Formats: sequence, C-alpha cells, structure tokens
Amino acid sequence: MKRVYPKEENCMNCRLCEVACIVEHSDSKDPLGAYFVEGMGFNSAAGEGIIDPADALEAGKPRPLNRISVSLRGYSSISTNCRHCSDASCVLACKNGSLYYDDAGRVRLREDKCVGCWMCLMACEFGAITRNPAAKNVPKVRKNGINHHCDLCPERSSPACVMVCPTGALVYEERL
Amino acid sequence: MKYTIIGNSFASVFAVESIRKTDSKGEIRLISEEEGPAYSPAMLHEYLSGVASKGLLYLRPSDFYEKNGVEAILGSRVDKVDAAARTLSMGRKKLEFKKLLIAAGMTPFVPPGIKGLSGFDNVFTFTRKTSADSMLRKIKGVDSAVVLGGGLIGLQCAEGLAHAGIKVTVVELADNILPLALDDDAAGMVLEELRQEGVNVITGNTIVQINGRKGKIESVTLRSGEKIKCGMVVVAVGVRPNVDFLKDSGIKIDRGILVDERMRTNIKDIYAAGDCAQGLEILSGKKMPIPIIPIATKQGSVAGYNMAGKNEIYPGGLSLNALQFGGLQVVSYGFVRDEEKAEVLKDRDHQGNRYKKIILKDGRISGVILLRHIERAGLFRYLIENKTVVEGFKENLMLWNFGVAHLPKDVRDAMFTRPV
Repeated sequence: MKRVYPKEENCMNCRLCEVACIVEHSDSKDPLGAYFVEGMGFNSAAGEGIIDPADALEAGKPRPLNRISVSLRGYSSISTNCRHCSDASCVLACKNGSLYYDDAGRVRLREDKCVGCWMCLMACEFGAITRNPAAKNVPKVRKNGINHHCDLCPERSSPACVMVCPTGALVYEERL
Repeated sequence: MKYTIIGNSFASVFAVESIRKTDSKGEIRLISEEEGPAYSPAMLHEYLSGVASKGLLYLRPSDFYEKNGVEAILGSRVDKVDAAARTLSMGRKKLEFKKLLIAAGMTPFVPPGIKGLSGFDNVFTFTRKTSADSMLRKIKGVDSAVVLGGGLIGLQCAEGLAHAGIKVTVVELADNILPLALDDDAAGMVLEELRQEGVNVITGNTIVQINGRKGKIESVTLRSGEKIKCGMVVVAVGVRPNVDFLKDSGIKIDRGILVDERMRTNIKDIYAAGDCAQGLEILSGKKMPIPIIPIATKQGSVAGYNMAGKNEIYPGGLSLNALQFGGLQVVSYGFVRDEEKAEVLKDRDHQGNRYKKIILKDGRISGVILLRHIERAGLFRYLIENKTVVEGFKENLMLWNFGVAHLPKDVRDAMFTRPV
C-alpha cells in the first residue's frame, strides 16, 4: 500500500503541506475561502496546544484543521501524518469501533460514531492524531470534538500535501 | 468447526478479524453468555446518562458475524472446559472444539462484609449492558446514589449518573481516586473537575451497611459512622479475570489464564486473550492481568493470527489510560506512582492548569501523566515500549510543544521511513 513518507532533509518548514491539507478538506477548496470565509483563522499547529479547540468552536465554526503537521526544532523540521499502520494501535484502542479499515487499507473514521474519548490519541505512537472540535456526537460533554487524522485524500491519486510540497520533502510510495 | 471462541467483546472481535485476514474459510463459532452483538463496556456511562445513543455502543456494524462467517451462540454460558477431552459444556449441552480461544473477560468484584448488600433491589455493578439497562429502568424513582469505588468504572458511572440528573457520592477506600492511573497531583485536579460535574467524592472511607425498608434503599452507613441518603448503590471496587469456570480444566491459571508470547495457554491449541488472560507486562517483565481495551484487542488479534497459522508475537502490554471527565482529559502510561530510584520530571502550568510528569529509570521512561495537554501523547508510548534511552534529550520531553522534531534523528528515522 502506498503511504506518505517524510524526507526531512528536504523540509524547509514552509508548512504548505498543512495549507494544502486544509484547503483540500475545506468546502470551497480554495485557500481564501478555507482560511477567511469558512473559519475564524484558528490553527492548532501554529500554537503549542495552548489554544483549546473548544474555544474556537464556541467562537464559531472553525475551518478544517490540518491532518499533517510540521514539527520544528531549531533549523530542522519534519512533516508527519498518520502512518496508516496495519493492525494500527488507534484501531486497537478505539473504544467503540469508530476507527476502521477501508477497502484500500486506510485507517478511516466513522465521523458519526466517534465520541472523543481519546483512546486513539493515547495509543498512536506517532503522535498523528489530533482533536477536531468541529464535530461532536455526545452533546453534553464539554470541550471535546472527535478524532482527526490523515485520510490520504481518497478523492485524489496522490495526497494534496505531497503534490504541493515544493522541495520533495514528502513522498507517496509503496515501501517494504 | 475449526475455531471456537468463548466471549464476545474486544478480544473476540479482533481475534475473528485476525483469523479472517489469515484464513478466509475456516469455520468460526463464538459463544457468549451475553445476548446481542459485541458492545463497548467503556460506553456504558455515556449510555446510562443518555448522552450517547444506543447505536454508538456497538463495536462493529450489524453484519459483522454474518460477513465473517461466524456462528454466534449468544446468551449461552460455558460452565466447563475439559482440555483433555477437548470439549466444553453449556449446561447439559456439550460441544467439541479443535482450536479454542478463551476471551471470557472479567467479573466485577463485590467485597464481602457490607451488611444488607443482598437485601435490596437497587444494588448494581457496572461492567455489563444488562446492569446499565436495569439501572435505566430504576433511575426514574431515584434522586440520589452512592458509588463504592473511585476507580475508572466507579467514576465513569458516577459521572453518567450525574449527567442523568442524579445526586452522586463516590466512596473510595484509598486516600485518592484512580490510584493506578494517576498520582496525587493529577487525582486532585480530576477531583476538582468531578466536583464541578456534580460528583461528590469521599476518600479513605467505605460502606459498611446499606439501610432501608421493604427492599428499598434509604441510606448507606460509612465506616466513619456517617450516613448518606440514597436510593441506589453501585459497587465498582474492581474486576477479576473471569476464570472460575476453568477450575479443574487443566488450564494453568494464576490470577488470570497464563499465556505465552503467542497467547497460548499451557495446553496445545487453547489460547486466551483479554481481561481473563495474564500476559506479559513490558516494563516489569512480569505476567499480570491488565484489563484495558488496547491490551484486550492486541492479545485477541495476536491469538487470532496464531490460531490461523500465522506466527505473530505479543511484545508485552503497557498500562495505558485515557480518561475524560467533564472538559478535562488525562492520558497516562506505565507506573505513575513508582518513584523509587527514579528521576521525576514535573511541570504544572498554573495558568492553563496543565500538568505533566515523567518518571525516568535508568535513562528510560517508566511512567507518564499528561493532564489537559494530551497532544502527541502517544510519542511517549513509543519511547516507553521501545525502551528508548531518553537521557540525552530528556529536557525536550518536558517542552509543552514536544513533538516529532524533538526526537533524535535515529528515532525519527526508525519511526517514519518504513511502513508499520
């Protein structure tokens, strides 16, 4: 199965992968629409997790959140996302079967089922799962949201992040 | 019938899927004491309070058994296994098996010594859907409840009852709640959140007597002499591996069913997985039952692969917790209270009320608590399970924005350059 692999020597921390991901998963599929019309400019990757996603939700519908993110330390950066593991830890930990494998072997989310218990976030060894505050299935639980992770852009032949990367710091290929 | 599975929860569901990935045809028979399709016991509090609809409880779509060619015998209790004769009995009915997986789960422990416990209708445990259903039928006539046990099940049940509009008091014998998952600092912060949710918690105390008239609970008496008015009592002091029916079976049992790295018991072609099994714990190197979902599913999956002929190794389990009360999330890994001969890194950010604690032993991580800051938590799981020496970059671990770039290059390469 083809997966996205980072090539960190090539990464220049431009974060276009994050932008392309957000735009691809927006309603308008347009950067201006995605950033300035659909949302309120809330970005989980820009902060250090200090901004509570629920605050963004309470202030209005947040724009789509990036499913890939660049991690930066000094001058070195690396862009990572869901590994789509076989026998993935998140699927093994999901407390009500919201995470599943589609026919292509991708780890996907049943968005109408996830209750935001964060077993997946606890389980994922790659730190690839974030919280999406735009949806919730248990209305009484405050400040929650649901699982958010890379879906490998099912409508595209190659994921948007890989296509946009100007330096080849992300590759989409089959490895053994 | 090639495969027989006792139990119908996480371990069994993942065993079925692993068998099917390896053997698309071999017949599978699954026997469970409980009626209905596999559901999540970890959803029961949300079901009880009505915040989650019934459909969210079930682990798999309704065609799971049919699609995987599983003959499901539900509502039948296996009361005996004869390993030598390779049979199991359900009352008078006897079935032969070839390969057997025992994934019979756990049973709630009800402590002896509480006077009046058996004399009342509204006394419940909280590990099964049938208990939650009974509670739902009685809940309308009740305005207050006492939960005995401040572990995960007790606290979740208490929160569920509070969300359903019931006045709840939790009574915990230990000095603090969640003693296995949290340290005192984190437990204090969770306690504060629970109080805001309307859950009152009493620690260092226990119930000695249940009082009432004509089968109707009126109050409980605590060891301290204090009386608390209530119309319902939930006993949630802990769970035990469900192994009593295996007495005299020939299968080796300690606290749970002892299994090797392929989930095999001491008897050929008999496997065990999940809450009833006692497998390897990765930090201590000892075998212990750890009744949590990620271990049940992993063990079930490994058992299924091996039963179907694929060689798959269980690397050992790590105690993992993801807890959520009100708007507070906590994730913890390993042994969070064992600070003997350890270096403890701690940071409490009072403004955001976040808390982070890392316990290091011999340059490796042995325990982690992350409270109100669970982003990228799983990276710590990777470092613990791979026994990565973190001595050289331990100051990075304490950064609130700790991420992939803060790991050494060789660790990053091992993580992200190969398929998993």
